[in-house]
Amino acid sequence: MPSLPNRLENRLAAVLAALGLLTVGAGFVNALPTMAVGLISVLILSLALGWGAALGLRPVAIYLGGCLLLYAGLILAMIALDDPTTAEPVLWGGFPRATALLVFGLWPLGTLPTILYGLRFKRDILPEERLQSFLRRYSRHRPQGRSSA
Amino acid sequence: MPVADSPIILASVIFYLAVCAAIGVWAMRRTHTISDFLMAGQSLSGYVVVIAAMSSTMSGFGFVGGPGLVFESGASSWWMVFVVTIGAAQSWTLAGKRLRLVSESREILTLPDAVAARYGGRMPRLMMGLAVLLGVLGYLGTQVVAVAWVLIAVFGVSQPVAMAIGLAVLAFYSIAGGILAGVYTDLFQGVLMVIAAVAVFYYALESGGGMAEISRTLWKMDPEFIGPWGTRGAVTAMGWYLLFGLGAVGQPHTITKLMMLRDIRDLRWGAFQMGAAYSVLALLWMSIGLAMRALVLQGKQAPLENPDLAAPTFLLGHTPELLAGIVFAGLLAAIMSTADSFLNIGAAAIVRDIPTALWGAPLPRELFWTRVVTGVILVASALFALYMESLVALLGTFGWGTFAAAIVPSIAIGLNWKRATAAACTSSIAVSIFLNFALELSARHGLYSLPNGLPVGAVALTVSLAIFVGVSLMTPEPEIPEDVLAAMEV
Repeated sequence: MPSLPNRLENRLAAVLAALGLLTVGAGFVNALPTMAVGLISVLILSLALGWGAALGLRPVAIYLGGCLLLYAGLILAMIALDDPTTAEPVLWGGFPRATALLVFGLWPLGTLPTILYGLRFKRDILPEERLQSFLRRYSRHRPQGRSSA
Repeated sequence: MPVADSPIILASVIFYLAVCAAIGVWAMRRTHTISDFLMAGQSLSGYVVVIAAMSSTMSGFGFVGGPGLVFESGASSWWMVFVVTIGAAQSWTLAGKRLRLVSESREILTLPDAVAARYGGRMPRLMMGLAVLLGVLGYLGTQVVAVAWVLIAVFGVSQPVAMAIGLAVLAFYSIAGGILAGVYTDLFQGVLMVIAAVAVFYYALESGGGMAEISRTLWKMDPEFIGPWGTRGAVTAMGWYLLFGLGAVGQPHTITKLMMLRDIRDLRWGAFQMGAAYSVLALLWMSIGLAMRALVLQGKQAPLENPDLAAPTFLLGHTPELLAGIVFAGLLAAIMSTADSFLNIGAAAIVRDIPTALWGAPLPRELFWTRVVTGVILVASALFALYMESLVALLGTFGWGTFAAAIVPSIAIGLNWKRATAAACTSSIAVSIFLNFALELSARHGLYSLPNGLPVGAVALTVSLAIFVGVSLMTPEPEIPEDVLAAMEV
C-alpha cells in the first residue's frame, strides 16, 4: 500500500478537513441530510487516505465508493422513515422501521471495510516482498536475525 | 437499591478478583524493563491483541455507562457503539501497519514517541504527552466511578467506601503488573464476557416480553426514545457516530496495542475480528437499558435512583445468579484492565514523554517512577470524576473526545500524509485541548452550549483536523526520517 502521489494526498487531506467542518456546520443548523452525507464521506475518505495508492485499483475504489453510497443511503432512509407522530409503530424485526435500519443495516454492514482490508491484505496492504524489503533495511532486530514484524 | 445477597454472586466476584490479583503478581515477575511494562515486549499474538483492545474499549464505559445512557435517552448512544465496525477499520487501516512498522525500526513505547519520530523536535512530543495525560484523567475517572457503582451494588457499601476500595485494588493491580497484567486480564474476561453478553441479551429481551413488546411499551412513553436517534436527537447521534468512528483511531489504549503485536501479519483480520467481537458485547450495552426502562414502565421494576444503576440492578433482579456473578466479575475485571492501560499510558506521559520533551531524557529510574506516578494519577482521576459529576458514559465520552481530537490528526492522518508538519501537529493538539476543555466547562457552568446537542468532541475533532491540514499546507514541507518515510511508503 504505497502512498498516493503527493498532489493527490494533499487534495484528499484538504477535502477531508473541509468535509469535517461541513459536517459539524450542518449539525449547528440542524441540516440532517447534509450532516449524514458529510459524516459518512469523512469516514470513507479517511479510509481512502489509509489505502493510499491502492485506491487507484478499480475494485478498491468501487468497493469504498459503494460503502459510501450504502451508508449514506441508509442514514438518509432513517431520516425519511422516522415518524414519531404515529400512534402505533410499524415494526421490522421488533424495532420501529427507521430504528431497524440502524440495527439490522448500518451496524452489521459497517464491517464491509474490514472485510476489504482482510481480503486485500496480502496483495495491496502488506505484500510479503515489501515487508521483507523494509525489514532488511530498517529492522532493529537485524543483527540477531529476528525479523518478527 | 438492590444489593447482592447471593453467595454465588459474591463468590464469583471474589474468585475473579483473586484471579486478577494472581495475574498481577505473575505479570510483575515477568516485567523487568520499561519496554515490558509499557509494550509487553512486543510479544503478543493477534488474537490476544484483538481481545485486549476490545475489552479495554468496552470497559466500565460500555458495561455500566452504556446501559445507563440507553436507560436515560434510548437509542442515542447506540450510535457510539454500533460504529465500532467502521471504527475498527479506521484504526487498522490508518494506524495499525504504520505504527507497527515504525516501532520495528525504532524503540517506540508511547504515542508521543511515535509523534517525535514522525515530526522531530520537542514540541510535538510535549503537546502529545500533555494531551494524553489530560485524556487519561477523563477516561480513567470513568473507570473509577464505574467500579464504585459495581461495588455499591454488590457489597452495599457507600460511595466513598466503594471508591476507596476500587482505588486500592486498581493501584495494586496496575502498579504491580504493568500492561502485561492488563492484557492477560483482558483476554481472560473478554472471552467470558462475549459469551455472557449473549446470555444477558436473551434475558433482557425475555424479561421485557420480547423486542416487539419492549418497542411498543417504549413507543407509548415517548416514540423518540425507541426511534433511531433516541431522545437526544439526530445531531447528537450523528455527532457521536463521527466522534466514535473516526475518533477510534485516536484512542491510545487501542492503537498502542497494535504496536505490541509479535507479527505484523496478524493485522490482516484483526479489524474484522475486533468489530465482530465488540458487536457481540454491544448486545449488552444495547439491550439492558431498553429492557430496564420497559420494566419500569410495565411496573415490574422500581424506578432507579441513577441511570448508571441500570446494569447492576438488572443483573441482580432479572438474571440467574451464576450469570450475574460472572458478569459482575467480568465487569470488575474489564474496568481494572482498562484502568491499567490508562494508568500506564498516563504514567509514561509524566515520567517519559514530558521530561524527554523538556530535558531530552526520561526521569531516572524510569520503571520505579512510573509505578509511583501511577498511584498519583489514580487519585487525580478520581477527584476529576467527582468534580465532573457526570453519568459514566458522558464522562467517558469526554475522555474519548480529548484523545480523538488530539491524536487523530497527528497520528492517523500524519502517518499517512507526507505533507503534514510539526507546526501543524503542535497547533492542532493545542487547539483540540483548548476546545475540549473550554466547551465542556462553559456548558457545565451555563456559559455556552453547542446547539442541537452537537457533541463537544466532534467539534473539537473536526476543527483540530482542519487546523492540522491548513497549517501543514501553509508551512514548509517537512523532512521525514528515512525509516519513518519508508514505513509510510510500504
